[in-house]
Amino acid sequence: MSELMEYKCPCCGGEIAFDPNSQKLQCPYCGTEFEAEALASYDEALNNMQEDDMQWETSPGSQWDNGEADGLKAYVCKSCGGEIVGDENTAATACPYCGSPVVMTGQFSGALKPDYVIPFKLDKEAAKKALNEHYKGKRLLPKIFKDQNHIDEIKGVYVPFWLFDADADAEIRYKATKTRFWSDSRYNYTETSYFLVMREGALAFEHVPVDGSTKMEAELMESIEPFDFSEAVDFKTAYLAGYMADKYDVDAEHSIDRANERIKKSTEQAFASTVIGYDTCIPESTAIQLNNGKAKYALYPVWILNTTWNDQKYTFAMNGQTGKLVGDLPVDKSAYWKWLIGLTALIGAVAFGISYLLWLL
Amino acid sequence: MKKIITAFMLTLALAGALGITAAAEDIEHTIGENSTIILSEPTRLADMADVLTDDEESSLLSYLDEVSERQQMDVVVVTIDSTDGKSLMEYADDFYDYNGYGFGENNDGLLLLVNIPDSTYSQGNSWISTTGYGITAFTDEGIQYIGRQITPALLEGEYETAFLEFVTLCDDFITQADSGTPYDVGSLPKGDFPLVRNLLISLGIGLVIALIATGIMRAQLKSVKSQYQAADYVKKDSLKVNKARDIFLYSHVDATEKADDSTSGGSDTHISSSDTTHGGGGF
Repeated sequence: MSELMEYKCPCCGGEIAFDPNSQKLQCPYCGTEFEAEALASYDEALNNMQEDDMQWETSPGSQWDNGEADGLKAYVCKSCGGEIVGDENTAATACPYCGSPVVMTGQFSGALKPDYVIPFKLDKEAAKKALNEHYKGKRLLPKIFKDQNHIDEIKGVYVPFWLFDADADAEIRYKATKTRFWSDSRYNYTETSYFLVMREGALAFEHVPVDGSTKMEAELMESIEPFDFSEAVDFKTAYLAGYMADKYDVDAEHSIDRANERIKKSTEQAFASTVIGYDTCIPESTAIQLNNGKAKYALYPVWILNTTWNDQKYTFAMNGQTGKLVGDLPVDKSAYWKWLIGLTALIGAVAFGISYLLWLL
Repeated sequence: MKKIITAFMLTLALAGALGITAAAEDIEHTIGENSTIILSEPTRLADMADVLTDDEESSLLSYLDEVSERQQMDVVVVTIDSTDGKSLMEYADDFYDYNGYGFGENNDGLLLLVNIPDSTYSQGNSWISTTGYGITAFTDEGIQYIGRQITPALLEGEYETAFLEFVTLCDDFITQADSGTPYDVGSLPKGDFPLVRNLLISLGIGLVIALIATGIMRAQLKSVKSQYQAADYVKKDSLKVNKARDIFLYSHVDATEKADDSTSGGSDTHISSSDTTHGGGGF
């Protein structure tokens, strides 16, 4: 049975959450802050206390019929006693009744324990601001979409990522050409010289991330890259307080192909950049071996914002570390045609004017 | 008998040397040296192919006379139905020289020769021969320009239109040459402004640029895309090239002849059978 953890303020008993601005746990009621360094011991202390609650929590799931509860897990909120239903991957959420942030520590036990976490650096307000910025300067965005900017939902999510380290050994053959031009009084000459160019060497990659959650679209997660791993810290559940979190549901073996693809492409590019002085360079054969491949499990901070417009759902994702926000926006068809026709007429008129001036000269 | 034959031969020889008056079409002429037709009455219009009506002839002739006198340069139009085995150039040059056209000591003037065999004109049967100041005023490029202007009417059989156009152009060319810069490569008179063509091309350019611009605007709305590489995650300074070999395989040379763009302007000249310098060109 999973364990549930709530962070209560030792001073006043209020629910406390991780504050990205101060990078500390903060009690919203009495304002008490707890140093990040203290988190580890706080974790431990809470974990120890958890023992007492174990028997208390054993009964609830027994009334579910077989199969009915597949994919679902129920927890009891320790603040209000309400039932929190999450799916089998939910690892941190908020109680729907009292709003207390809860962390299902069982989701992170044993082999499931993440190696690293990059704590949120940007808060909800920053995400809202970034979304407004995202709307700016886009002439074909329907005005009404901007004006009716209702954010249905905004949530900070720790998304499970697999991080791959690897050394790439490459052996690449290119066919390259150089061209030289000269001329005499009668002819223009073009000399094309062909070269066989070979490069052998190594390149190391660190922490290439692959989205480990099927709930998060891989494309969306790749769009908000890169994450700066130098700010990652050893995982502590306390960082999750106040945020949503999922455990991975795609394992490392299934994620590795995506990392390989990207590593291969980058290796090709890196070695191609060492082939200089040629006019064209086409890879003829590429052999890349990956060694010392290691996978690490990490939680990365992502703000997810949802809006609905014309019955269609628009999802935006913001990198909780760098603030990079992405999300496709609708196109204002009538504005598109207005711009197209207007620009055609305007540029056409200018071109016509220039042609007339040239004729006059 | 012998005497009669000798007398007959002598008469023929004399006729060849002095020229006999004969009627070819309506035009009184003799055949002069180098079998050139010598007009009995010098005129600036010799319609020997008879493609103009009398009314057309008289109005065209008065226009030719007016321009020629005013510009002090002979502008002559000649139509023929056969070149008598000569080239157009030889025919035009000889006709000009032996009929004594030209103003001043340099015989300033020009002659348009149009050969219309069997009453049908086809492209390449016209020649403009220039002499004296005419060589300066009518450059090779200028002559080709005149050719482009009047050929459509010639091909249509509208000879009067073509010749009137020719005289108007000559008037304009001579005036332009008097200003110091004759019409030449790069400075030919402008035709009408190609309104429809330029409008369509301008709109086409506008549409292409507008499509690119709106395409960029549309692209701004799309920000979700996969990453194809992992350059952000390369370990710093980890790129090591252990072996690098650049092997020269072969080379080949392509030689293409230079485009002949020696249209330097001016007029090329040649010497006619009567030792006169002429310019000119056909179209």
